[in-house]
Amino acid sequence: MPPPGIPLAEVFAAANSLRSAGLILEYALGGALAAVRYTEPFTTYDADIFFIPADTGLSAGVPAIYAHLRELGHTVDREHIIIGGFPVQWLGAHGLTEEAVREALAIEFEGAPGRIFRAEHLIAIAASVGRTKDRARIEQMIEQADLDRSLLDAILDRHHLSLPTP
Amino acid sequence: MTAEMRRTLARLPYAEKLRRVAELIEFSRRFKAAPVILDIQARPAMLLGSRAIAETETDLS
Repeated sequence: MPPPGIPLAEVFAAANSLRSAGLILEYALGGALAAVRYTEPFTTYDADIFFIPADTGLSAGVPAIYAHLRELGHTVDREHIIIGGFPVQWLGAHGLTEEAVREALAIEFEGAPGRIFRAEHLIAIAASVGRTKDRARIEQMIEQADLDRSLLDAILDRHHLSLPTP
Repeated sequence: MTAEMRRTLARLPYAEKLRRVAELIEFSRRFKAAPVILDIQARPAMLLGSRAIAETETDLS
């Protein structure tokens, strides 16, 4: 029996539902699962959905978002929503990640429309975090992804970031 | 794996790559869940052997 797949279409459907309900303004897949679109496959155990909240209050509308996702039949496991058996983190976007959401690529996955961070934004976000694994991710993406170097440079410059020296 | 092989993998369709991610997750979970196999058959013999040595070398006279 093949292992259960990554239910990305279900994740996109949930995010699209939140947007249709007016609970979020926009969303996009970021993090490692987005990076896999541009690199060789590697292990990652959850999906990160970044969203621009419709509620600009302190809670960013997270309680209503979680309530809506539970109504859709998904379960909560600490900070994750379990969708199709796969943990999904829902992260409010701001600054660089908000820009990444707004400029995300529109894709279709198994018939579900979705949005995914551009490779250049993934690199910039990794540069802004700066952990060892982020530096490894940057190196991997520079080696394997088809990058728009002028776009990457513009993003880095706009957010006062630089790539780690090898 | 060579850099060229990694770049080839990077050009796979996204759906295929996510299928492989799922396989990697399954593999890592099975690997973590694998029981630790102790060499229990050797241990009694080792203990007996140690005891036998102690009995022959101990002279309480």
